[in-house]
Amino acid sequence: MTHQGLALERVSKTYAGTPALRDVSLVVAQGEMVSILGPSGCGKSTLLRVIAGLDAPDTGTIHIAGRSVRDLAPKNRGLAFVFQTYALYPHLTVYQNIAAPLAMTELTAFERLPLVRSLARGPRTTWRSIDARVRATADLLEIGPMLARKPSQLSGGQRQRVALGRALVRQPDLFLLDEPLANLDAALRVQTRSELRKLQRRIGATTLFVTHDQAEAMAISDRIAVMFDGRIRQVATPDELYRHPVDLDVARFMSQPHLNVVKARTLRRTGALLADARLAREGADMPRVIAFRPEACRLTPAPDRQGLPVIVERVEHAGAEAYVFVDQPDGGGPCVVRIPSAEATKWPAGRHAALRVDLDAAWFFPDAPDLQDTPRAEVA
Amino acid sequence: MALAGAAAGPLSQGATRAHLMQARAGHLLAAPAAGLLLVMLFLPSALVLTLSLTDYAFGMPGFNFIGLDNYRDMLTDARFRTSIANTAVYLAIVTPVSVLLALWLAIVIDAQGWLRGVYQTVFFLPVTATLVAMATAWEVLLHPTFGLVNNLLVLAGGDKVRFLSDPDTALYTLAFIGIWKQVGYNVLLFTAGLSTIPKDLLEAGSIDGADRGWSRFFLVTLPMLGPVTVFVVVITLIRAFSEFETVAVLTRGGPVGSTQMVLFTLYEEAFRYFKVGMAAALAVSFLVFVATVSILHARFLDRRVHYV
Repeated sequence: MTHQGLALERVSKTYAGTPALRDVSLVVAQGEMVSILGPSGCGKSTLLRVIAGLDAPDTGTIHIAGRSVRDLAPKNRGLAFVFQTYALYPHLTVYQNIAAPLAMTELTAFERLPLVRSLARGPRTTWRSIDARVRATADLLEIGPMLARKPSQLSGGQRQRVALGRALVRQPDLFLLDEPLANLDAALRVQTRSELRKLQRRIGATTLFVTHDQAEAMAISDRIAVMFDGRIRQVATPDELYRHPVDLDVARFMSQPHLNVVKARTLRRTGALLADARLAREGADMPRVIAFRPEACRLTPAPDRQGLPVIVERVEHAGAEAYVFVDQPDGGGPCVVRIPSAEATKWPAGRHAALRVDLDAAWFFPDAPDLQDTPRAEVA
Repeated sequence: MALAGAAAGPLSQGATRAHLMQARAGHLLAAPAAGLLLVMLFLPSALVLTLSLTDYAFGMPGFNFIGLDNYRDMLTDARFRTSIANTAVYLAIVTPVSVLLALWLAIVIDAQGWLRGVYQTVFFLPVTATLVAMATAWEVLLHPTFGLVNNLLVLAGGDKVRFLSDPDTALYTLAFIGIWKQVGYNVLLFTAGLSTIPKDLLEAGSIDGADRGWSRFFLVTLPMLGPVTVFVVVITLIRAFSEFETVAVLTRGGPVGSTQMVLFTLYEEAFRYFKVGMAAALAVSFLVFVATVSILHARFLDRRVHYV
């Protein structure tokens, strides 16, 4: 249990009969940045709360920086938490907000009294050290000029920095960030996330970052843990996760906005694909589905014996690329194909075409139970 | 409507008419409320203000304007001065004690589990009970010969106290009953205030090291309760200032004027001595006090934007 920033072992938590975390195990290395990615309600925030000690797990163990935190109050766990709402103290200035965790842990209630603080020698020294650290943190985050303001006088991005500052100033072993960018507008979010990553690298802090935005997770994580229904389905680097998702849920989540899912049986019906050795092998024993991204397939003019017969429904222009939405006339469901936008005019609505799938870039999964009811092209 | 107003050319005349129509409709809709305000509030107030400048008394055929004489009497007459002084003492006891006690109780009750509802009900009961009946119950409890409190005092080896008939204790006894009456209401307000404190903020506090006791109270709870506290203080001030029932039922201002308070004096002036002009002057002073407190409260609320 040494040299680990964080180690979770079989952590479970049930809220009022509903399991929120099921047997979650995860090891985060010292200085690593790991994202917890999943749809809302998957338990990712609960996981963070359990680690922070805001909720107690039913079973399982948690080690932070090599020491069990089971009997430790949140304030003694050596961690900092950045809330989605920032949870700044509205009546305190930026300076006081950042100083709060230091003042609360390093001074007694008596020593925090204004008179004692300036008269007694011990507290005065501590205050001087707190002051230095608050100012250093403010400089690091470039919020020095705002120290005297109240949170209500700050923009969303500035509040986010203050919340970050309040976390940083304690120099914790572990940072827990609960969707810290969710309340920022799109442009600021992209900018802030790269700054966040830079900052994290610079101070080398072990960081757990909860988000529902796969692009955000991909952009800044060393590794990503994907959660569904209270379970971690896969922990991997962004690239590995993108190329080798372990199941259909993960694949769908990592392929937003579109993932095509087609029954293997449907593909086997088309003669040319039957010859494909991989499909024959993988699809022989049990009912399976094939999932592929819009860029892992192409359209050819009908008739084409090597492709699925489809009808063009509409084309969406997306700058350099265009997305062609097609439908299978025999009821196999819709698919989305990415093409260079220059070719968009080749596929007017209503045109018959064939869909060829690049099976090397496709994944084979056991049958998805919801496949009959939901459209195959997922829209996030 | 802003869009219609912005339209240029032949349309603008129609837009102006639409605007006028809308303004008229607005006035029509506000008229009933404005009328009621005028009849129920402003006219009586104006009447009372006028009466306070006269020597009118019930049953007299006429009256004379005597200027501010009533107000001058109020400040010089010993009985009035006593009643103002008594009210001030009463306020000075009831307001801080019932506010601080309620704050403490609300926080303690808030931390309870399933007993929470029980406690809330118990403390709120005095608010719902008829005070005149409750005052009688207090009279029985505090009775010098057969009252439970005095019997307990004797059992504990002490002397009997004539709570309501001793000039030295009567006002403090009334203040105690006033606190008993007000605390439940204040607890309710503070409990409501506590439930609006964002959970995030309490959790941020617990991670920052203020997870309990005084540190949490001063870092999160008290500042977030600021607006509620101001409101509770204002409402307690106004209620204590207008204390009437306990005086009327238990002491009638006695013994020897020791519990004479502003509202009871007003009542006596009007309905015992029939000096309507004098009572009106008292009523105006009362109104000024309440209005001042309310205006201060409104000003205070305006300043607290950063609490949101």
